[in-house]
Amino acid sequence: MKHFFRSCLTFMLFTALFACTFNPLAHAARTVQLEWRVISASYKKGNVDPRLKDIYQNLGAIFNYNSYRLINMNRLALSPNQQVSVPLSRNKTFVIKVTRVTNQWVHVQVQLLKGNQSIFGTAVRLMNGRTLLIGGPSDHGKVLIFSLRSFW
Amino acid sequence: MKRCRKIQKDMDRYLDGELPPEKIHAFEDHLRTCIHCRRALEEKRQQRRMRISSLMPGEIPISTEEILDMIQEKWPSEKPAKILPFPYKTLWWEKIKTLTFRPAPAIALALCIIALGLSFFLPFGSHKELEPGIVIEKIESTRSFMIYQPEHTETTVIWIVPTKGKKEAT
Repeated sequence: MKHFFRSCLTFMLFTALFACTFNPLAHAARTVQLEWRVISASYKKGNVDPRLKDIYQNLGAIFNYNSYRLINMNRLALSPNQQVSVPLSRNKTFVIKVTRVTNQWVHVQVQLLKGNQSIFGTAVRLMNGRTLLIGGPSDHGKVLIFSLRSFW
Repeated sequence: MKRCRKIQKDMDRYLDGELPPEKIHAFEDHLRTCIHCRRALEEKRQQRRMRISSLMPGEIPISTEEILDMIQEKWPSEKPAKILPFPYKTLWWEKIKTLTFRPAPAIALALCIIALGLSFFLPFGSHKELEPGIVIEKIESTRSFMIYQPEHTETTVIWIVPTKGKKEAT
């Protein structure tokens, strides 16, 4: 009987230990990889930047611009309350701030600043691998599209 | 000194080849640095040889192999022991053989491995597919904007409508 209880206890302990070790939820990332790209789009005939090959299909399905050029691209691991500034054009900047990371969602605040003035701000939550495109700001006759994608 | 005492205590087991492999390393390390223990071990070896030679006068065995050969000669039915090369290392499959099978941890481990495997292949939490990939919780803008979610893409678009006089459209 004593042996039986000891076996049961060992079994439960090992189950708990391995469940904690291997459970994907236990491994939920507390940091999140954010990839952003600043794309300049225009109606002028031109090429599509080869570095946009992976998202061109999406861009082509959404917009009807003729040329897409990648201005800036980066991928960073951010943890909650970390923020990063992405220069968009001469006086416009995007500020990205990760506010919370849960097992399923990453909560991000995105703010578009013109000089020091905020002209647009949003709080979104993204699932893994989803892309948020923020477009509209112009730069020398071209339109700037800001692409934000999360990975973890 | 305390270490020397411990080493000298283990000497008989070392000479008999009964010292566990993990202890052998530490034992030999100590012998390399401690002359007293080295001497003590040598003395012990000599004593053993003397003892064996007194049992078999005229023959002084010099190695374990020879002792085993003698045993084999005297008791031929006995299976000779496998002599491991010095330093006495236990082979990994020999170690596995010595492990006792414990059913409870083994079953728990097997179940966990199966669960882990299944979690990769089965669509646990399929409700995720019904959820939107992006949720816009708040927007503050000094300009007009529109939001749209194109079909068959994992993309959400927020389009800030440019101020008057500027030609920007999708």
